Order: sequence, then structure tokens, then C-alpha cells
Amino acid sequence: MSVLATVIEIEAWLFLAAIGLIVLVRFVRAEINIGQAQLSRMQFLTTAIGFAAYYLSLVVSNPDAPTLPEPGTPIATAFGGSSSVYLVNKLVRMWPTITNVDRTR
Amino acid sequence: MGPFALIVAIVGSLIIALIAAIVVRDLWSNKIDLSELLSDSNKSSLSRFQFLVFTFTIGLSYLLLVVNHLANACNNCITTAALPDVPVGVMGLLGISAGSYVLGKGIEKAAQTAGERPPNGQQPAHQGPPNVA
Repeated sequence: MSVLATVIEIEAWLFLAAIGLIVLVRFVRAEINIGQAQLSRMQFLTTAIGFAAYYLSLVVSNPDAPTLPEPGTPIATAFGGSSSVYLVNKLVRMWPTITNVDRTR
Repeated sequence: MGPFALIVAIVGSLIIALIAAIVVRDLWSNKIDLSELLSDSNKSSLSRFQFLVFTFTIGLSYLLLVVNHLANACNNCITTAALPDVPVGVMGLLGISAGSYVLGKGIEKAAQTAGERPPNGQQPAHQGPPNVA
């Protein structure tokens, strides 16, 4: 593997690690508002960072592959399910506002 | 790898590294606000955040693959240089990521637009000048 490829690999890992670390630090310092935190958002956030790290590890483990590695049906299904849960939850929460129902009556 | 390909690869990786560094710096300095990442607020967008993470991951993975291809290619065989294919599964993952961003924004926009309308069954507020007759 060339030096440049190693640099890009380190760059990718550093970016993901920095993003994950910043979220973790904000969470531990309670700088992320968890008063109204929703489970669907929490699982979507962890799934997104986790799957991105998993996919990067797939690419790095086989750098001489002719194409990008296939993530596989279970991974795609899990990520699709995770984002669907997030979107459905968001839609359900915002439905009264979207339909403009006056709940005070 | 030929010298031109090497320069292009270095410039490409430098540009992506610079963008990534700016994003990380802004996240760290709170210029990109993450405080409402887990709640329904317009200050932070979770769908945009995951889209950012996936775009960078897939983009850097592709760049890594291209650089490895160039490194392994025969220096004298110009015709062998070609961009590697992107499998359908990766397109699917990116599609899910982008789709959830677009749908999330659509839901937010619909709620925002509806919030500006008066509730169902009520007359809109009188906007004209007061009737003095």
C-alpha cells in the first residue's frame, strides 16, 4: 500500500473518531439536551456512526479489492430499518402540527 | 503511479482533509450546534449529521480505493486506468442516508408551514385595516 493510501486511511479513521469523540464528550458533559431525547434519534445516531465505522473497516481490510466492498443485505436492511424508525417517529410527533389540529378545543 | 496521478491524488486527499478538519473544528467550537441533536428542534439536524458522516466515509473509502488502484497499476499502461465500480449495495446505503435526510427535511418543512396557518375550523385573522364605518 502506498504512503498516500495510508494517509487517506488515517484521515478517514481520524475523522470518524473525532466525530464520535465530540458527540461522546458533549453527551458526557450534558451539552446535548437529553431532557427531550428520543430513543429513535439515539438509535439512529449510534447506528449511523457504527455502520460508517464498520464500512470503513471493510474497505481497509481489503484495500486491493477491484470495487468498493458490498455492505451486505443485513447491514442495508438494518440501516434502512433504523432510518425508517427515526422518520416514522418524527412524522408521528409532527403529525398534529402538519394536520393543523387545534388540540385546545 | 505516474507523477500527474500522484499530484491529483495528493490534492484530492488534501481538499477532503481540509473540509473534514473544518467540520471537526466547527463541531468542537460549537459553531455547528449539536445541543439539540437528540430532540425535535430546528437548531440541530440528526438527518443532516448522519448524511455528513456517510458522505465522508464513502467518499474517503472511494478515494482510498482509487489511490490503491493507481499504485498497483502498471506505470507504462495508461489504458488500464479506470475508476472502480460502485456496487449497488453502497448506492443503496447512500440512498437510504440521503433519503432520510430529504424526508426528514420534508416533514420539518411541512410542520413549519402548517404551524403558520390558523388551526382547522378557525377563520384567518383579519389582515386589513380596521373597519371605521
